[in-house]
Amino acid sequence: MKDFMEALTGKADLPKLANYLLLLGIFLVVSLVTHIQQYTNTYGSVYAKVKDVRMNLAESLRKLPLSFFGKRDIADLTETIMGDVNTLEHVWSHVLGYLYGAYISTAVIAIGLLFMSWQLTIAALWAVPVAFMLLFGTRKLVMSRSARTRKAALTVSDSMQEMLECAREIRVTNKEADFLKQFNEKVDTHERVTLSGELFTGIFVNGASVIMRLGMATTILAGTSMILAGTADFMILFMFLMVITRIYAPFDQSLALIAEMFMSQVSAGRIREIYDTPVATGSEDFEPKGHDIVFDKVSFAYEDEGVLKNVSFTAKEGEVTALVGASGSGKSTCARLAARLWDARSGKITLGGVDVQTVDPEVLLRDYSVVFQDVTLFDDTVMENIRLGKRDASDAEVLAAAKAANCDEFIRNLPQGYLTNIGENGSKLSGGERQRISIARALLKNAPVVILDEATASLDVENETRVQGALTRLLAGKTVLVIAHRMRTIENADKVVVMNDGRVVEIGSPADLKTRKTEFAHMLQLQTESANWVI
Amino acid sequence: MKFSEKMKQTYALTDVGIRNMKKAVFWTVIVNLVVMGGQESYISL
Amino acid sequence: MQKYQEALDAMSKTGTEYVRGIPVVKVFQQTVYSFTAFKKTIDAYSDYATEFTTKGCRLPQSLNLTFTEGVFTLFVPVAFFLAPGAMAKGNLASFVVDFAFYAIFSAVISTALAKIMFMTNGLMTAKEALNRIQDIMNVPEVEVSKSQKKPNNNEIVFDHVTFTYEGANHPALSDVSFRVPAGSTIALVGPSGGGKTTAASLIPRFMDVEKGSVQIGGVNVKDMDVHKLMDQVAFVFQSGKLFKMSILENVKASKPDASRQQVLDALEAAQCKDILEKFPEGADTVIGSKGIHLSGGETQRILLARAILKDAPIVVLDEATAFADPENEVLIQKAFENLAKDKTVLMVAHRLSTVTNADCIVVLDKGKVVESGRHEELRMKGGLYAHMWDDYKKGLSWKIENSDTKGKQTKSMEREAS
Repeated sequence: MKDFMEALTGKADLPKLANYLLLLGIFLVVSLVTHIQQYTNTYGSVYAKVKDVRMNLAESLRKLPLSFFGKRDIADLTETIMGDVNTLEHVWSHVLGYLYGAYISTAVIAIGLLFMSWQLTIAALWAVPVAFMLLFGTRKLVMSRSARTRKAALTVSDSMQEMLECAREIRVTNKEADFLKQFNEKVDTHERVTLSGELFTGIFVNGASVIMRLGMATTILAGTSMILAGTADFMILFMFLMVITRIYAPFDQSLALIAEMFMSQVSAGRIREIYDTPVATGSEDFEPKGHDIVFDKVSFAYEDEGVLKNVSFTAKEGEVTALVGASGSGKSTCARLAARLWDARSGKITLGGVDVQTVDPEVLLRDYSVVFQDVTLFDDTVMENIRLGKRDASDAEVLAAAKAANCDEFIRNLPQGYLTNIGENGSKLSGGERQRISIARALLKNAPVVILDEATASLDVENETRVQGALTRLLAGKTVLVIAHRMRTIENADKVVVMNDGRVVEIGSPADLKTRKTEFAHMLQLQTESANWVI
Repeated sequence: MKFSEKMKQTYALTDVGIRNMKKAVFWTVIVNLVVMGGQESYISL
Repeated sequence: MQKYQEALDAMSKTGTEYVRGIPVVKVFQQTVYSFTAFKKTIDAYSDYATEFTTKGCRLPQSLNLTFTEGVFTLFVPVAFFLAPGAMAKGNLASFVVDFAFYAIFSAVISTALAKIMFMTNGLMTAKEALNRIQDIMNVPEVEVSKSQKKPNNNEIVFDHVTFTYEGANHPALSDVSFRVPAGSTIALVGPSGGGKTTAASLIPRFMDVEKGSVQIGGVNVKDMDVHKLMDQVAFVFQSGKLFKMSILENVKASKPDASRQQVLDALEAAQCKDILEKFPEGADTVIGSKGIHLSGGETQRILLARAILKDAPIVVLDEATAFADPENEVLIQKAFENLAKDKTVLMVAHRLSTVTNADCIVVLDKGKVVESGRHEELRMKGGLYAHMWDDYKKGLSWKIENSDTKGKQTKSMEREAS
C-alpha cells in the first residue's frame, strides 16, 4: 500500500509484483501451519481428555455410598456423565482456547497500536471492554433463561418416557388422544420457551457484537478529524481501519458460544459435586473371626424418615437367619446395612467381631454374595453376566453355577447358548430366567456371607423347587440372611427375626414362634389362606 | 497458580486439561498475530 | 458424521446401564475398568472423535481458515495487474482508493464465512436427526380394517394361531386353538416362556398373528374397530404401570364418565381401602409426585379397580400375585373374585392353586397346546399338568435349610443309635 501511495504522489514507480509474491507465499504457508497447530491443540486434544474425565467420573460414582443414589434419579446421573461432559467437551474445544487466546492477542496488538497513536487506539478499542462487560453482566439473566429452556425440555422428555412406558395401558384404556393432546401442549410450551430464550440471549450476544463494532465508526470519525487537523496521515488511518475491521474476528466463535460457556459452569458444578461427595472409607486390613453378623442397637433413617429403630439381632455363621415382615418394615434396609451398602446412623454392625463401618467397603464386600430383588443384568452374553460374580472364573465354573441355579437348560435353548446376548437389562429373558441368572452370579462368587433378598420371588413353581434345592446344598456352612415374604420358604430357617415398622418385634426359631400367639403365626395364617384361594 | 485453580474449578479441567488449554491459547495467539501481521503487511510494504 | 452419532449413542446406552447397575458393580467388586462394555464405548467414542477431527477435519478446516483469512492475498496480484492500466489512464488515485476500500472490507468475509460454517454444521446435524426420525416414522402401523364389524357375543376363540417374535428362530405360538364360551373362565398355564403371556397379548392386538385368527364373538379382532375392542375387554397386566395423575383419575381412565361414588365403590371392591387411608389426600393423591410411591401389589389393586369400574364383559388378566407379600396377596385375590363374576375370563396363571376351579385349563408348552381340560381330568392323565401339579405341591412344603444342620442331626441320631 505504501508503495502505491508513493507511486500516487509520484515518488516512485509502480511496485513490482514479484517481490510480493514470495512474501505472500510465505505468509500463506506460515498461516496454514499455525492453523493446523491451533486446531490440534483445541479440537484435536480434547477427546483424549474427555475420555479420562468420563472414566474418572464413572469410577468416582462407583465408589460413592449407595445412599447417594437413593436421592438422585438414574437419568439425572447418567445425564451428568454423558450430557454434562459433552457440554464441557464442546466448551473446551470450541471456546476456552479461542477466547483466552483472543484476549491475549488483542491485548498485544492494542499495545502495539498505542505506540502508534493512542487517540486512535482508544477510538478503536473502547467498545471491546464495554461489550464484554455487558455480556458478563447479564450472565445471570442468560443462564436463567437457559435453565428454563432445559426444564421445558425435560418436561417433554419425561412425558415421552411416561407414554412409552405405559403404552399398553394407554392403548387399552383408549386414552391415546388425551395423552397426545397433553404431550403436544408440552411441546408447544417448550417451543415457546426455547424461542424466547434464544431471542433474549441473541439480543445480548449480538448486541455485544454490534457494540464492539461501533469502534469502527468512532475510528473513522476520530481518524478523519485528526487528518483534517493535520495530526495524522492517511497511512495511519488506513492501518487502523485495517486493524479495526479484523480485530473482532478472533472473538466471533467465542461470542457465539458464550451462552454455552456460561451453562457449562453449571455442568462443571455437577461434576465437582460428584467428586466432592465423601466416599465411604475404612481400613484395608480385615480379619474377621468367623462370619457371624451382629446388629447392635442399630438405627437408620432415610431422608429423615426413621426406617430402623434400635434393631438388634445375631445371624450366626452356618445358620440361616430369616428377616420377615410387611413391606416397609425394614428388612431390605437391614440387608443393605449388613453389607455396608449404607452406613447406619447409630449402633454397631459387626461381621466376625469387626465393625463393618471400619472396613473399606471394597475389602468388606469380598465376603458377601447378594441376590437383590430387582434384578440388574447387562447387555452382554449370558456367560459374561454370570461371570460378573467372579472376575477370573473359568468357563467351567460359570457352567457349574448356572447348573446349580437351574439355568443351564434354558440357556442351551437360546440361539447362541451361553454366548447369546440378553439385551438391555436382560430384557430378552423372562422374569424368572433373569432371576436365575442373578442367583447363578451370586453362587459363582462363593462368598462366606450370602444375602438373599426375595431371591425366588419371580420364579414359578418348578423353577423355585429346583433352585431351592440347589441353594440348600450350596448354602451349607455359610452365614445366610434371607429376606422373605413367603412364610413357607423359611419354616426351617434356624432363626426368624420378625420386623414391623422398623423395629424387631420377635426373634425365635420358626417352630417356637408358630406355636405361640405371634405376628409370625398371624402372617403364616394369612399366607395359608391365600394359598388356598381358588378362582 | 491462582489462575489454574480457578479454571479447574469453573470448568472441571484436569491438570492435563490445563496444559492443553495453555497450548491452545498459545497457538491461538500465534495464529491471530500471524494473520493480523499478514494483513498489516499491506501497509508497510 | 453418522458413525460419530452412533458412537455417541452406544456410549449413552452403556452409560445408563452402568449407572443403573452400580449396586451390582459394587457388590461384585468390578470397577469401571473391568466393566468393559462402558469402557469400550468411551474409548471407541474418544478414538473415533479424535480420528474424525484430526484425520478428517483438521486439514480441510485449517486450509479453509487460512484462505478465508488470507483472501486479501488475492488482491495483491490483481492489484498489480490492474495498477499499470489505471496509472496510464490517470486513475491511479481512485484505483488506490478502491483498493483501500476492498482491503478494509475483506475483513467482513472471514466473519461472514464463520457464520455460514456454523449454519452448515447445524444443517448437517439436523439432516442426521431427520434421518433417524424417518426410520421411526417408517415402521408399519397396526393395520385397521375397513370393515369395523361388531362382535355378536362375548366368547373368545383362538383359531389355529401361529405367531413368531421378530428375529426369533422358532414361533412363540404354533397352531394354538381353544374356545372360551361366554361367561366361563379359562386358564392358560405352562412352563415359563411357553407362550401364555404372548397369547394374552394377541387379544388386544399388541401383536398380530401370522396365521390363524383371534376372534371375539365370532369376529376377527383385526376386523374390529380397535377402540371398540378395548371397550369390550378389560385387561390387567403383569407389572402394569399407573399414570402420573390422581388415583381417582387413574381408575376413571377406563370409564371417564363415571361418577366419583362409582370410582370409590370400585376401589373398595378392589380392596384398596388401606391404600387410600395411607395418604392424607386419599383418592385425590397424585401418583408419581414426591414421595408418593406404591408397591407392586398396591399398583396391581388399583389396576384391578380400574378393570372393575369398566365392567366390561370380557376380562383378560395376567395373574401375577407371585411377587406380592402376604397381606397384598389375600386382598388381590378377593379383588379378582369381584372382578371375575359373570364375565368371560381368560387368565394367565402362575400359581396352579388358583386354577383348580376354572372351566377349562389349557396347558401351553413351547408355544403348543399340549393338554386341555378340567383340573381333575388333567391330574388323572398324568401328563405335563399332573407333573406341574406335583412339583407345585412339593414346592409348597419346601423350606430353606442348611444341610449342615441336617447333617448334624443325622450324625447325632446315628451316635445315639450306636
